[in-house]
Amino acid sequence: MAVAQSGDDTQKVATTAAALGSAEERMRRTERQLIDAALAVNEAHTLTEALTLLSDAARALVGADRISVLEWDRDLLGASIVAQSGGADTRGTRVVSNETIAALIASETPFRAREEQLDGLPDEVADAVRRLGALVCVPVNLEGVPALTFQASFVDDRSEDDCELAISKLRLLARLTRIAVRAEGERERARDEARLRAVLEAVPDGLVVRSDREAIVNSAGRELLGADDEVPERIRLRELDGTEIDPDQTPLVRVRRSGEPQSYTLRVTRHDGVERIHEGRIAPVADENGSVFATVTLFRDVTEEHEQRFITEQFLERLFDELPTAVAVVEPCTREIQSANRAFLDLVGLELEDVLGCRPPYPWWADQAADVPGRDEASRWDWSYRRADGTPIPVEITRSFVHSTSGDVAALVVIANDLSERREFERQLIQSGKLASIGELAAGVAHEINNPLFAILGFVEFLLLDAEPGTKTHERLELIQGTALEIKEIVRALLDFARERSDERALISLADVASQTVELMRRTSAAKQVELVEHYTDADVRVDASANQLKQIFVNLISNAKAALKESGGTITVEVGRDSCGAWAEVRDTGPGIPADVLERVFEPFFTTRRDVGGTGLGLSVSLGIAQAHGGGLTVDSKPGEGACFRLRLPLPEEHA
Amino acid sequence: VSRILVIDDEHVIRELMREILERAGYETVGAETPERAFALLEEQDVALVVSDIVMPGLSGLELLVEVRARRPNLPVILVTGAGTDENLREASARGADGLVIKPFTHAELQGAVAAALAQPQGVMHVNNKTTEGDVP
Repeated sequence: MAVAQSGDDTQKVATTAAALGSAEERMRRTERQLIDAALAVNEAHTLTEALTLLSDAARALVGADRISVLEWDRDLLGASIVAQSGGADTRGTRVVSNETIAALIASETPFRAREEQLDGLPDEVADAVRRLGALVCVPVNLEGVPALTFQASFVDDRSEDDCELAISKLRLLARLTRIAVRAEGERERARDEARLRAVLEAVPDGLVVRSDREAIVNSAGRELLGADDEVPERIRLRELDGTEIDPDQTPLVRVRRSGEPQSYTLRVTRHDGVERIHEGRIAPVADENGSVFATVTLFRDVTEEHEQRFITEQFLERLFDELPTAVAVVEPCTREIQSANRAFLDLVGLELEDVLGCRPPYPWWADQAADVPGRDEASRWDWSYRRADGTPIPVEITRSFVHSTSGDVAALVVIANDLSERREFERQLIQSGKLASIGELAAGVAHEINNPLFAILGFVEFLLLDAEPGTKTHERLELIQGTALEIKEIVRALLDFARERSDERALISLADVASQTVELMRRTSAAKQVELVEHYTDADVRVDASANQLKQIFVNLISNAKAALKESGGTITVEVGRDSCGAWAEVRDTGPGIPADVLERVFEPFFTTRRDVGGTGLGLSVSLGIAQAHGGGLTVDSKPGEGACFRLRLPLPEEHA
Repeated sequence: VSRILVIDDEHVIRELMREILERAGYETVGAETPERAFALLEEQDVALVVSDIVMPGLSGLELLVEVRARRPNLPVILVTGAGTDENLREASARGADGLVIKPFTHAELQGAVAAALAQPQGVMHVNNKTTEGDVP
C-alpha cells in the first residue's frame, strides 16, 4: 500500500525502497533466527524481557532503524511497539491515543494512516506518521492476559506483496508471541502459586487462608489441627475454663462480621480428638469495596506454655496461701490490702472478704490510734495485732517493696511474724532453765540441808528418848521430828527428780518415773483434800525413754488433775501397767470432768481454760508431743461429772515386746 | 568394846554421831581432819571408821582409799548428806562397808556399824539396805 507522497520526496522514497529491499532480503535470511528469537520469548522471565526480544525480532522483521517499546499499559492496551525509521524519534511520546489504538484493534485490519486518523495526535507525532507513511497495527488478543498491540510503522512505497509479507510475518510473530506470552503467563501463575505455597509452608506457625470457595492450610497448620489433608470442617472450641463457645461467636465469625482482626486463646479439640490450647490471630482480607472475602488465620499451640504458666501461677498462688507465715500484699500508696494468705487470715481471725480493701488503721491493729513508726523508712519493727476476740498478738512486721520490671514500686509485701509462740517458747526456756537449775541446786544444797537436818533429827531423837511419852514435850518433839522428816523428804524428792536432767533415753522403769514425780508433787504442791494414790500393777514395766521428759508429762497431768480437784477435792490415781499394746500409765481424777467442746481441743497448743490463772495451754500439747516422739500417744477420756482419765501409751523396748 | 573413829569436820555432827554410837555401847574417838584421823589410827586400836564424805581437803572417799592402804581389813562406813548415784557408785567401787545417808535415825547408823563389824567385807550397807557387789 502506498501513501501519496509529494514529488520532492521521490528520490528519498526510492532510496528508502532500496533500503527496504535489502532489509527484506536480510529478513528472509534471518527468518529462522526470527522464529528462534520469538521462541526464545518462551524462556523469557519477564514481560519486559519478552518484549525486548519481540522488539528485537520486530526490528529485524520490518527493517526499521529503531523499535521502541513505548508503553505497557495493563489496563488499556498493553504494549505498543513502534518501529521507526527515517530518523524520526518519537520515544517518550504517545504515538496514538488509546482510543485510536482501541479503534485500530476493533478494525482488526492493518491500515494505513489517513489524514483524519491523525487528528488528535500531537503535531510532531502526526508529522512523523505522515513522513513514515504507514502505521500497521496488529492487535493481539490474549485470553486472560492483557492485550498486546504491535504497532509497526515503516516506510512507504512498498509493493502490496511486500506489505502482505511483512504483515504475515508480523502475524506469525504475534502468534508466536501469543503462545509465548500465554506460556509465560501460565508459568508465572504457577510460579506465583508455588511461591505463595512456599511462603505459606515456610511460615512456622499454623496458617489457614479461608475464602468462600476454599480453605488453604499449611502443613504446620494441618499438624496443629490434627488433620491429614484438608482443613477440618468443624472444630470444637471452648474457653480456657471449658465453657463451650457459641457457634455464632467464634473468632472467625466475629472477624467476618466486624471486618476487624481478632486474637484468641482457646481450647481446641483437634480433628483427631486431641485437646490442645491454641493461640492465634485472624485477619480479614477485603476486596476493593471493603467487603471481606477471605480471612487469614495464624495460630500456634500454646498448651505447654499455658500449662506451664498455669502450673507456675497455681504454684505461686498455693505457695502464697500455704506459707506458714502471715503475708499480706498492700497497695504502696494507700496501703489498701490487696491480698492476704491463709496464715494471715488465721492470725487476725478474719476472712478474706473482711480484710480486702482495708486501710490503716487496720481493724486488727491492737492500737487503733497508732501509726506504723517511721513507716517510710523502717523495714522491720515489732507491732501488736489483735485477734477477732481481742486477744493481743505480738508480731514482728517485715516489709519489703516489690518492684515491677520498669522499676516502679508495684506492691508492698507485709510479713507478720507471730511472736506469741516465740515469746511462749522463751518463757518455756526460762521455765525449763529453772527446772534444770533446781536440779543442780538440789544436788548442791542437799548436803548443806541434810547436815543441819541430821543435827536436828539426831538431837530430837535423843530428846525423845529422854522425854516422858505422853507429855506435851514428847508430843512437841515428835512434831519437830515429823516436820524435819518432811524437809528430808522434800530434799530427797528434789534429788530424785533432778537426778536425770538430760533428755537422753535409757531403759527406765515407768513406775519409778511416775512415783518420783508423784513424790515431788506430793511434797512441793500440796493441795488440801486431794489424795494422790499410786497403783503400780506392774512395777517392772521398762520403757526406752527420757525420764526427764516423761516426768514432764506426769507433772503436767498431775497438775491438771490437781487443778480439776481444786474446788471439790478428791482423788488422783496414778497407775502404771502393761498390756498387749505396750506400756501404759494413767492419771485419773475424780473431778468434774471435761465438757465435750473442751475435750476435743485439750491437746491444741495454747488452748487453755485457765489463762486467768497463768495457764499457757501448752502442757498437754507438749505432753502429747513427747509421747509421740517416743512412738507412743496420749489420749483422754472424760465425761462431765465422771472425772477425767489421761492415758499415756509407750511402746515396750524390743526385747520386752 | 570396839572403838570407832568418827571423822567429820563439823563439830556438832561429829559429836552427835559419837553420842549415837556411844549410846549403842561403842567407844568412840573423834577426828576433825584426815591427818588427825591417820594419827589416831596409828596411836589407838580402832575397830571401825565412820567418815563424812564432804570435807575440806581430803574427801571421805579419798580417805577411804588411804585407810584401806594402811589397814586393809578395817571396816569403813561413809556418811553423806547427798545420797546421789555418784556417791553410791564411788563408795561401792572403793569398797566402803557402808553408806549412811543423812539425815538418818540413830538406829540406821547403829545398824550399819553393827552389820559392818559382824559381816565380812564386800557387802556394803546403805541405810538398812544391803547392796551386793556393784550398784546398778
